[in-house]
Amino acid sequence: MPFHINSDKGYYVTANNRQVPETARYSIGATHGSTTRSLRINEIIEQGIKDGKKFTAQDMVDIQQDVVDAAARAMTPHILKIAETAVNAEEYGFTQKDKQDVKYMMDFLKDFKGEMSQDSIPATVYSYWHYFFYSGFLHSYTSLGETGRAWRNADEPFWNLKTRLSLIDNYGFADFYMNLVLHLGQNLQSDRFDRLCANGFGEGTYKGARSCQYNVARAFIEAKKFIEENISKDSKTWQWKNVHVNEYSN
Amino acid sequence: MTKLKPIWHREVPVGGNGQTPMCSKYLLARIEETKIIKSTHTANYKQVINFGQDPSGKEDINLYSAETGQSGNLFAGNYFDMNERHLNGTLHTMYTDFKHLYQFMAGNNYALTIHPVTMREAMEGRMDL
Repeated sequence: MPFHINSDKGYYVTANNRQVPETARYSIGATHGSTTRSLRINEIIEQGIKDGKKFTAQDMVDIQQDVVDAAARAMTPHILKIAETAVNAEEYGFTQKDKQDVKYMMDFLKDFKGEMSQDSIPATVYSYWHYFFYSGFLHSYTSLGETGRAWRNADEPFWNLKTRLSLIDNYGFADFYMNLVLHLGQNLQSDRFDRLCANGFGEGTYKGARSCQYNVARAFIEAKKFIEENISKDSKTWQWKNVHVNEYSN
Repeated sequence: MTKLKPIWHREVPVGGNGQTPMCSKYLLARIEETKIIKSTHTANYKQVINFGQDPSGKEDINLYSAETGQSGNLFAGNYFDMNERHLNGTLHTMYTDFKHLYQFMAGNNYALTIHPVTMREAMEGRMDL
């Protein structure tokens, strides 16, 4: 097992992140890269060092309580830019009502800094947008398992929503998701990930060629519809604490 | 069992998500069914240890918290009583010096007694408690 004592930088961070360098023979950690949690903890500590702060036990407790999603914070400006571009491009075929819904949801995220606090409404909007954006992945990969069965549950068709989400809802794909959004944000007309996003919300629903950009905008529409149907039509009640719980299952 | 579920089952509104240091990770695949977002991967146990300069340990700080409670007995009163403090970051002080335990026991007139039992006695519930 690789080991290291008294880090030169003065601290260690563990949050399911990779613990050893790229050159190590064996990987240690739940992922092969940095988790967003580890990035955020690093950020807090580095900022403290920069400010000349002497850390206390309470500071460590405060880090344990931190609710900033650094990935959401970094991705949101790109998401807004992609969605705004797509929804206003005629080729995607969004209706006037679609455009209003996208704008309605985007407005919640204008000043969102990834703060997933209990009272945050943007946290709710981002989370359901994220869910529907993920739901739009892998629809065109039917050749992988149209006639097969689910790898978790033999009674379910392989290629249903639950299975597709099970394949991509993990640390490794979170890295890819961020790279995808960054790429699209910087290359608004890119077709690099078209197949991954193709037919994300059913065939024939749009005319545009750039399926990921379409899905970014469309996920806002789906999120609004889902929240209004299942949570509340009154957006004043969309606080994160009203839609998100820790479940202690029995 | 479904009808008895509410007796043991708990759901608590909370901040954070799977990407925040205050981890509250959920599975996207469940949202279609649950509608609201239910996290199941959380920090079940927290501990912060700060070693002091004094080798005797008297300056040490040792804080801990469990997410539910310290008893599996629903009716014992400690089944879920650590949750609120755990979620808001009010950790308990952990004492490793037995004199604190003795003081607590004396003040509350408690005593912990452990009896050895055979495996057969344990299986048959014939433990003299």
